[in-house]
Amino acid sequence: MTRVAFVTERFPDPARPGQVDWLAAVQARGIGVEVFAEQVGEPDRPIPFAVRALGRGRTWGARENAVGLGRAWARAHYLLREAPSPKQAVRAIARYLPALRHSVDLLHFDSAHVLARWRLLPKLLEAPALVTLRGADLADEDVCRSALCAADHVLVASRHLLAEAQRLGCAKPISVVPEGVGTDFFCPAAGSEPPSGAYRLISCGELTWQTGPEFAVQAVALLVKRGLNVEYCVAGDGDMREAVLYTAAELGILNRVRVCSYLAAEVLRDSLRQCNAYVAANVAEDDGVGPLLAQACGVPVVCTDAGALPEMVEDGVTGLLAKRRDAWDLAEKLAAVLGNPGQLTAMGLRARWRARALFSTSQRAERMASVYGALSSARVAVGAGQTARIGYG
Amino acid sequence: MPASHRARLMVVVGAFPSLSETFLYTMLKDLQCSGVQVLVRARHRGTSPHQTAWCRNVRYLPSEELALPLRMAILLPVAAWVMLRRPATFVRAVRVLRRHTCGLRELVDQAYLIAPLLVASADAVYFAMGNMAAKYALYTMIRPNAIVALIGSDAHTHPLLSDTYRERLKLALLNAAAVRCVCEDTKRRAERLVGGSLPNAVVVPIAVDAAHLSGPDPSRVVRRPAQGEVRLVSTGRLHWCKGLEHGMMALRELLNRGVACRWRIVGEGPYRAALECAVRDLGLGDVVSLVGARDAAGIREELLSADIMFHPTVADAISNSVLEGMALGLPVVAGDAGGIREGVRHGETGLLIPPRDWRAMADALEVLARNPDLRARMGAAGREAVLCRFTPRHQDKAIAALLAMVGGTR
Repeated sequence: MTRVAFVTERFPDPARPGQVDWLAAVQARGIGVEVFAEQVGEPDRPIPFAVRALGRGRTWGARENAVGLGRAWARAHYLLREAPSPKQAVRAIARYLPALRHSVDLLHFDSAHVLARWRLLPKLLEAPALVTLRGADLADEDVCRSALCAADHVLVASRHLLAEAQRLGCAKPISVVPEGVGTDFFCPAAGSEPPSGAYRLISCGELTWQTGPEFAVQAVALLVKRGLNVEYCVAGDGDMREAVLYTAAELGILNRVRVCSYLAAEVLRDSLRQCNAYVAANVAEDDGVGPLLAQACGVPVVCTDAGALPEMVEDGVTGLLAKRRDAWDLAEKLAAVLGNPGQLTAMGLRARWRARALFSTSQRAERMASVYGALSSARVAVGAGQTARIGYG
Repeated sequence: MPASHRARLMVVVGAFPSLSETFLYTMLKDLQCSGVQVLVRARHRGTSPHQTAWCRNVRYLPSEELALPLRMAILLPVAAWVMLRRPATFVRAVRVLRRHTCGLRELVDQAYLIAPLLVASADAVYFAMGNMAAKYALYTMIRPNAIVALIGSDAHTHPLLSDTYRERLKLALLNAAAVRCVCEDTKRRAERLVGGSLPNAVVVPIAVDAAHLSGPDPSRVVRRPAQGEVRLVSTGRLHWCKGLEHGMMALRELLNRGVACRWRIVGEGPYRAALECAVRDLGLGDVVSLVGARDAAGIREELLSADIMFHPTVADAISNSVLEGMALGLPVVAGDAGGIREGVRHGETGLLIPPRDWRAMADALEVLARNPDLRARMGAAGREAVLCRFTPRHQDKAIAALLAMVGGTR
């Protein structure tokens, strides 16, 4: 059985509600999955695979480490030999200790930044590295370039990111596997009526400069100025929370904007079901799956043309696209959608259909399993005792 | 207090030196020159291109990240010293700590924070920012010599983020001997925060570095546009509240209208990646330069070789960058946010535009770009306005009054 270690920053990640689902679906397809996470959070449901903590101060206890001591020793010896100074060698051993005793066929790094932080892991575990290039990685192109060199295979979630990887000079094979969301769980409520009263808008995901939340709040203020009764829920957290609250306060709509932190899956689903439209005011690619979750729940999306959003949302069919950094255009598109209940319903139905057809967890799991299978078989084909190590430099 | 007594002012800051807060250094330097003993107490070391060697009395407060036994080892002798040397202060501190903390852990944490300030003998303790005052709020209840300065984000944006911060800042503002607000707008926000008037609050505007005010009047110098382009400049921390992304939209619009221009953005900060993305995205690579941080001389040079000070801010008190631009004879195009209008008079020293409205920004920039005479007129009026209100002499006088108010006479 192929054993894949998924190396990530935090697990479970509240900003990616579908992550556990697709990893579980990959495991159900006969691939052994375990997660190495820098931060391990409390899962809200049972997780059918092992989750291990990486990083300083995180060890698995003397007994556990003693079990794999032999393997760990060989790898620690490598660190001692290769490190520029004994001090750095000791630091590296302390850091990598939790992972040293493990043996996997493939390491899947969840982002270029994670690979940059754990760049010795492929060499220590003698496993090929697959790296997901994320939109957030693009903020630091040097990190991206070094990660693209260090990896054996690159994974992207959109054609936009594929183009970015090529722009950055990636010479490694690249697979495009769109994000997936649990379309059976995130679905419209049975026999639900469109919400009445105030128009309800929602956004969810990380509040970073990439998601442009300030522009969304400005657009909502412009709608209120036009006389529309609008309420806006921002479900997420991040550096730009301050900007959201300040903009809402300065534009006099603090009573209409609710900023809550990440919502549990059920609460998020219920909130999405009660909304008229989803807003994504991105100025750059951000890796969020909010627009997909909304579409799976039958909610039309009004978003900007940044990053992969035009691939997630079909303009005029499942939502509308606006110019990025232009709150006036975003407000115009929101007004057009909200002002036409017939169109709102039709877009919602088409959004649901498209999400199921293109962005379901099972489709992602299927494609990921085939990528994992192809990479690990390439490793076996190199020969016993050898690995398909490319670009370790 | 004898008339010959030199006032000792303890200034509590976050990082020292720091990339931003140049106006604070200007103030401390001027105070030191005028005979006040300035003692800087910083929470941690920072980096800055600004020269801070003039400030010799800098100490760093004990780290809050030490393990509890180590912190106890530091706290106990300090507490014993206060008990023996200042018994009244000790008794008051114990009372305040018991009343305003929940549990032993919080009591120890707060005692560890304020103890180093109780040991120092200063006539007044100046919390250079509202967030410092909120952190050391209990100190303001123990000793009656605290001056709290509100400089912008500490009163504008931070109170929205956390209830605890809001409550702590409120406590500090109500108990401080004096509150220095850099503009009327900040004072209004402070009063809104405490839910009433603040009799101890005084508006003391910031002062421009004397180096910008000396020498020949730069507004009289005819600024020749380089190759027919109008040169915009912005200085300050790269932060979302500076609204530079909106400014870039305005610049794109301006270029689309056929106005040739260049924009140099001087400063560093957490928003750089966003701005680099906007530059790429809007195709402004040839006209916008993110030049990074510069020292005072470098900033002066940048300002002297520009035609317009562009400050598309969305959240600000009174901007030091804008005042520096005005001091060097630059007309200003700025977002009408916070206390900006207290520094820039619309139509006289610059043009104010609604924050985030990039079309209005482009209109204002176009007006000034096409009219060199108007630029020169506004530049001269701007320098005049700075000389009338924002010089070190004005600030020095106001700070002296503030020190007298808390008992640290000059």
